[in-house]
Amino acid sequence: MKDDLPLRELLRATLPEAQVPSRFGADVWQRIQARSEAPAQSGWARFFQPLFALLTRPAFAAVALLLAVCGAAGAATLRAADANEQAHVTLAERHIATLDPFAHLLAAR
Amino acid sequence: MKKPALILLTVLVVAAAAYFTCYHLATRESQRMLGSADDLAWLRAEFTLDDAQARAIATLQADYEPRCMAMCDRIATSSARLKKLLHESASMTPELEAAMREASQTEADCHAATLAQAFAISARMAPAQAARYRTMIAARVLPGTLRHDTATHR
Repeated sequence: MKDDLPLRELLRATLPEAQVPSRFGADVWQRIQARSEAPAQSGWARFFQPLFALLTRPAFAAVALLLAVCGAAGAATLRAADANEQAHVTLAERHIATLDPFAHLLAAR
Repeated sequence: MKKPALILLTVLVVAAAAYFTCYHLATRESQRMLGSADDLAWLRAEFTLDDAQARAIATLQADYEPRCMAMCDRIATSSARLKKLLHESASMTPELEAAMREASQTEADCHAATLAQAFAISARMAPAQAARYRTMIAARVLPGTLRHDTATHR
């Protein structure tokens, strides 16, 4: 390599002569120091950051929206079934209170 | 970081809106009936009564109401008498025995009247609905011992 003068000449000719800013080295070290002093991300943040990044993609955002709406509708239907069953019992008891004097007295208390 | 948070918030708001809309739609009818003072609205919906059946049952119920009130008074009177005698007596007396018999007779009469009215109502329904109605009434109105016997003989 030492004696390869043509190659050395070729490299000198092809490398651009860029001007490095005067504070370039100091700026680089400043950035390294700032990064090393930044608080480490928690496990949750590390877990959610990729998911948050996915949400910015329209297809994933649409899927998330669809899943959330389906989940919410399913949960509401289950809870409504319970509420309807409870209402059914209350209405049946209300009707029976119109027939049975004992139930009527209990309901009137 | 702002954009994903905004998207997540939108997803949550839309999901919450979907939840409340579905819940409201699914419970609308039962909530309407619970809020209504019309007791026959539930019976009509539950046992798929037509207008003529609903009218006939409303008439039956209107005729039965004074009798039901009279029985309520009878229960209250016999119960109060029994309580008073129980409080005053130190041993079994003929009056206490008579009061207990009267309370039992009142209870039996009330159950009989309730079941007679339930049979009269079920006679206005379609046969399948009538059977379902009688089962519901029997499960809720019959005294504990009779209910137990019915359950064990099924």
